[in-house]
Amino acid sequence: MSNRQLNLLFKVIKTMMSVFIALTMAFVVILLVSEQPWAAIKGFIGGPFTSLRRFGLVLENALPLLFTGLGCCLIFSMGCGQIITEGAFYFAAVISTMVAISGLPLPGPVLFAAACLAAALAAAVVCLVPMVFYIRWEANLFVVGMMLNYILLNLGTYLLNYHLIDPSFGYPASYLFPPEMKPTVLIRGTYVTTAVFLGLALVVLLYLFFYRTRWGYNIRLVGSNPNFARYSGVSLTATYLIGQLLCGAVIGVGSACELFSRYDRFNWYALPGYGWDGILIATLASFRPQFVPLAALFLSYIRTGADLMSRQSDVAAELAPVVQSFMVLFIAANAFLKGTQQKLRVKQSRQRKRAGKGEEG
Amino acid sequence: MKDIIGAIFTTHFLFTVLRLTTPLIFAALSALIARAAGIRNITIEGTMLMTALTGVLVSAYTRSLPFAVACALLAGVLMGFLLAYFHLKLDTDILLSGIAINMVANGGTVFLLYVFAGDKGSSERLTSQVLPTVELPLIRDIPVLGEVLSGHNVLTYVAFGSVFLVWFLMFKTPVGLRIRAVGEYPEAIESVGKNATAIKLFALALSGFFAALGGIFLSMGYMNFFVKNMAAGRGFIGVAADYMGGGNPFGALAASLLFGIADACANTMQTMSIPAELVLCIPYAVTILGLVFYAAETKRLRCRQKKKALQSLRAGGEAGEP
Repeated sequence: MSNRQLNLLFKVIKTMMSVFIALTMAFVVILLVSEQPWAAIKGFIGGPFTSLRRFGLVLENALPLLFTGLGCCLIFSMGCGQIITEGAFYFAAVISTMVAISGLPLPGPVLFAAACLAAALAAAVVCLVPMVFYIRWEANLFVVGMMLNYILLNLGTYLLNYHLIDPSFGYPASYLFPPEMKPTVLIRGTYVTTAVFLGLALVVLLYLFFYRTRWGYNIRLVGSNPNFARYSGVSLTATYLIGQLLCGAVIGVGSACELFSRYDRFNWYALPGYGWDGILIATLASFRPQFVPLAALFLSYIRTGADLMSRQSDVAAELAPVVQSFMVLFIAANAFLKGTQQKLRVKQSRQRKRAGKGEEG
Repeated sequence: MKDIIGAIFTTHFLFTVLRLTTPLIFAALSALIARAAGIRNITIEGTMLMTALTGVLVSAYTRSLPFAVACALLAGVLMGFLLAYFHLKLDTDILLSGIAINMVANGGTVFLLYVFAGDKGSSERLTSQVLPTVELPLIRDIPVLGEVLSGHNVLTYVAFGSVFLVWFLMFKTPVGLRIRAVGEYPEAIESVGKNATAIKLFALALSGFFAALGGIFLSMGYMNFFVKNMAAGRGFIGVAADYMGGGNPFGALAASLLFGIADACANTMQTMSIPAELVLCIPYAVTILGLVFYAAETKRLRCRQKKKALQSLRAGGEAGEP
């Protein structure tokens, strides 16, 4: 076994262990709080597989996670951990609503494309702001992004309440999106739409960008060693700006897809939380775009399972964020199981040495 | 405009400022201690939520206020240990640990609320206890000052006292020196035979302790029950306040007061015909401006120091030559 294979094997073991620990914790908690723990656990683990519609729910919940996960892959692989993705996702939805209900005389698909484009632009601009502040004044990326999120939420609420709201509708929400612009539903009874293909296309595009283009390489280089990147002539500023811009664009498209797939009107009065989830997904996928769909499906499975469990039993669905967070904490822990890895490595190299001696003798 | 100014300069307004500033001071001090030890602690938000809930639940079930406060403080310290376990022991990235632990707290509080109070929104069904307000003798009778300063929750006074306490601890005691040394250069601490990890652990526990005070204030002073996500970004504002204060408790106090004032302004202006949503942006916009200003100032200062050092080096070099 080569070193590379050993590392891969170890990564798989570590991930499995993390999942195992987190799920065990979940089961213990369920056993402690529930009156009918077995029904709860059954709903949690098996629930999503009991019908096509329920499995569709997993896909449906995975879609926004896929987009924010991809976006976070970009910014985290250049070493700029931040949370502006949350506000960008929200604000992109506001902007795409504006385009959707503007009454432009466009055919459905074109209007959808225009709304996606507007959302991508809006989110890209939003994502640029904290980065510009960081580059220009070295203001803390995370905190500026966090504050900006709250500003965007309030700004979006203002736009919704004063400009987009449909006064003739029963509860506060924007005007109706034109039905002909909505993506086609693929699985009946769910909101799994053709937007899924857009998501998968972005995975492929980002994979190519990461591993086949100069800027993708630069982004990974800057993330792994900014000083080395600078001394080898890579412009940090340009790389940061491009990474941030692309992250925003991906998240904007995701926001528009989520909005038009699942909603008839815009009515978000709180930040959706997908920005935070994106960070977990990206970590789960070790910041590689090709693994993001898997990570998104897995997290969505846990979440959908928890949701089904809460409907069938007395355990609240909020167990899911706790479980997934612990899972990610262990997976991202560099020192977790390090001793075992070291032992394996030593054993491996001893064996190799012995084998080498055997050949000589 | 005149109305606004009239509404702002009232004793009631200033009283509100102090009330709104209280949790921010605790959060800022919590962030300060952790950052002094070189750890960017963003779990303050989650810690405040967790401790706010702990206080409410324990006081509702045991009917003992001191015990509830003690449990909440313990919960805060444990949250500090949780971060320490993942960041210091398992070497998880600090930002990621913070984000994940906040998500644990966010979901976990709702989960526990549902288990113990049968509600996912708030703990209003439980009758929990509240920390008392304090009428300051003598000061109470001073005309304007009395109305502003007296009659606050006991934790408001604790918050202002804590600023002095933390300043003394950080800058006048050996413990504080060690914490700051660990943050600046951990190898130095190791080289004199002290355990850097243990000192960081202590700093995180202390950070959790102060965040807990903020959480207790939220659910047992500011309000008398727990509401889902009631920290509402105060933990993050605390982190920002610490950055703006430049690591000095008094600076953090000033920054917290600034946010408190912006927050109170937003409250007051909402009652007028200005759209509330836009007014609510003020505290956050002020935070960003403050951060940028502080960061720019630090950068300029550093540049100037560098230039000076270079100059003196050059001067020294010239003098040294025959």
